[in-house]
Amino acid sequence: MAKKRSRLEVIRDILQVIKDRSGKIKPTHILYKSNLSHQMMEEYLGELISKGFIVEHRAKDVKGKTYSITEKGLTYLSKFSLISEFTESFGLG
Amino acid sequence: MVQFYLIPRWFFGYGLALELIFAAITFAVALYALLIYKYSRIRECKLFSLGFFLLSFSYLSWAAVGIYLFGQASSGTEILSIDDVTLVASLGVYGHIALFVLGLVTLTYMTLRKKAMKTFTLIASLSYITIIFSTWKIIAFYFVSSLLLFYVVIYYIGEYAKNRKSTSLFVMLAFIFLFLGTADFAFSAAHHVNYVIGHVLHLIGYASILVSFIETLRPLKYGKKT
Repeated sequence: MAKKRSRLEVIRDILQVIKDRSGKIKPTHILYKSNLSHQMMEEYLGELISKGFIVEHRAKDVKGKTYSITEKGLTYLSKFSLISEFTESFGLG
Repeated sequence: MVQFYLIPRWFFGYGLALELIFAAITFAVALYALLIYKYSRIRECKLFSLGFFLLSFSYLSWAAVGIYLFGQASSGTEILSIDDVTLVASLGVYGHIALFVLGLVTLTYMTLRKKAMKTFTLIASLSYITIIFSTWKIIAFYFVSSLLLFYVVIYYIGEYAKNRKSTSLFVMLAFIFLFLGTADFAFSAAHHVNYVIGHVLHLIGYASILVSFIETLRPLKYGKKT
């Protein structure tokens, strides 16, 4: 049985999905790729927006919302190993 | 008159060196936690960093008292009693007490994982009031500190049970030794041996934190990114 993902890993996976699309991504794609329930995904997206890791767009030409990754989000991805090692060891995750 | 500590003269230099080492370790961990907070925006990292910065400054304050007393002590003194020191040294000791307690309150508050400033101010004010209105301030200080560390220890036992990682084990052991050392310091106003034992136990505690801290830097060493 696969090990349950930690919060930090879920955040990494969401950011990775958005980054891989190299632009704007719809919430349905995030839902499909991140393997979360709709409610959980909304919670995570809200948290990522408040932390400044992603931004929400509401364009007229695209139906509904889209998301893109910010510099802070990219930094989180590149430093993920350091973050997870430290937070797990010191009980901060 | 409030008696603070009884310090054997032979240990004075060692004690001072250890306090500076504790200050350096806690400062390094605090700085790194702040960096991790900058990357991750995890609230607990910010609180952990703040708690360790306060502990670091409290050890610096304690070391400053040591440096001051080192110059004041006459060569024939075998045991120094910090109960008749000048205002400067008293301020240093009280500075250490205030910063150390606030650091531990911040760490205890972090372990609660609740965003409620009322809880933080309640723990802080209860801790300070207990010390301020106690006749034996040094015993009250170490009793309060031990109690706060006890809750931190419980938290880290839970964290180790969850992770089963060697680094989590070292952190758990570190806080257990810090708890034991702090409890032991409560008797340093009665006997000078406790002052030495307290330092040794804290040294083991901070050495464990340092080991765990260095281990967490491994991804940096091997250039591992994600």
